[in-house]
Amino acid sequence: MKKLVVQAGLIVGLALAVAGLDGAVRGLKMPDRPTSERPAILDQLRQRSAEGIPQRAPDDLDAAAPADFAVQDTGGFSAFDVELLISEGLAIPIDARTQAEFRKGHLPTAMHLTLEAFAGGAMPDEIMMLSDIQAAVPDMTLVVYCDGGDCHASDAVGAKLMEFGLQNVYVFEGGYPEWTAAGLPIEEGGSMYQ
Amino acid sequence: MSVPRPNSPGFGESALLSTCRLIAGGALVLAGLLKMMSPTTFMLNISALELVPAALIPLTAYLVFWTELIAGALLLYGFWSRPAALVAAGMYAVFTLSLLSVIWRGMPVDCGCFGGMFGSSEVGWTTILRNGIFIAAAGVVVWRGGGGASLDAVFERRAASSPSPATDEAAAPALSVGQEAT
Repeated sequence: MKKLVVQAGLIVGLALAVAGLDGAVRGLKMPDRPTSERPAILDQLRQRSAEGIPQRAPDDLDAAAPADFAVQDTGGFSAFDVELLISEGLAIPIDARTQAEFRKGHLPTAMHLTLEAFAGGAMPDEIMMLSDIQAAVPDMTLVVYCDGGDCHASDAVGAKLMEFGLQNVYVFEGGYPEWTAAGLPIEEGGSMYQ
Repeated sequence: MSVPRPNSPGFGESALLSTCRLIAGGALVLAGLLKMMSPTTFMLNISALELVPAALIPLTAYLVFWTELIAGALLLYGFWSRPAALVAAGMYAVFTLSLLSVIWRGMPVDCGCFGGMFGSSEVGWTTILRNGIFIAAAGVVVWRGGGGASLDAVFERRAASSPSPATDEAAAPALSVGQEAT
């Protein structure tokens, strides 16, 4: 029994040594994470269209939300901020939820992209598409969302977008629940990018 | 000529043990390879579980997939089958406990199992059941060894069939049983 445990320990020790070497060669660091702060371009937009687009502060969301949905002030930007960016053609919403959830309803003009698309180090076609769009419109923000709250998919997909060199990646923390609670329009069915 | 061993496994048991080795080892190697190809994706999966401090996530990710690869390869070849199966069972047990904690906390998290190769793998009871099968397969190998088709068995048979001091006394009269054993 003792020999068995010692040999098992040796296997783990060997793995630890190889992991350390591999990590030293490839760089042991976490990928950069997307921010959930308000994009700076929003302020410019609001200044430019102070008289045009109706503005609502995130606090006003509580009034629009159904009773069973508590809107949290995440310090990030609100559903109305995202709506403003989309309507100005300056944001591509990226839905990191499951395909079934996406087909049931998603933000207008949203692209569907999940962490599974990056399995085994693959580069999904959507990356090239987004890269081309950002090359043509440098201010284009990529707003990743999922189910809000404890959902980490948007954070993970956002980090992968950044890993592939895409810029202006933001996480909309309130996600789809905040969007629908705010009474904003949705689209159903497949993605317009496929 | 090989010497029959009274406790050597029969064909049926040998086939069962080989199957268990292939299931437990094959799953580990596949999972390890897919994670190794995209360590950042696996780091993000670990991060979502909220069980490991952020500073330790990169090292944990590398340690997990290298342990999977080494223990899995040993199991597939049947070399050091029992200790490799012990490591495999331990890893599957740790994964299962992590997944149970995610289910208990009601977190909608992707487990990152097999690098997402089989599509969305949101943590659920199916994942737990699958891990249970892997733990059972590894447990059988810990208990009974790698079976007749393993490298362990080949080395055992070779050791058993090598000339013993008693039969080779004329050629090497000074060699004792104790020396042979070392």
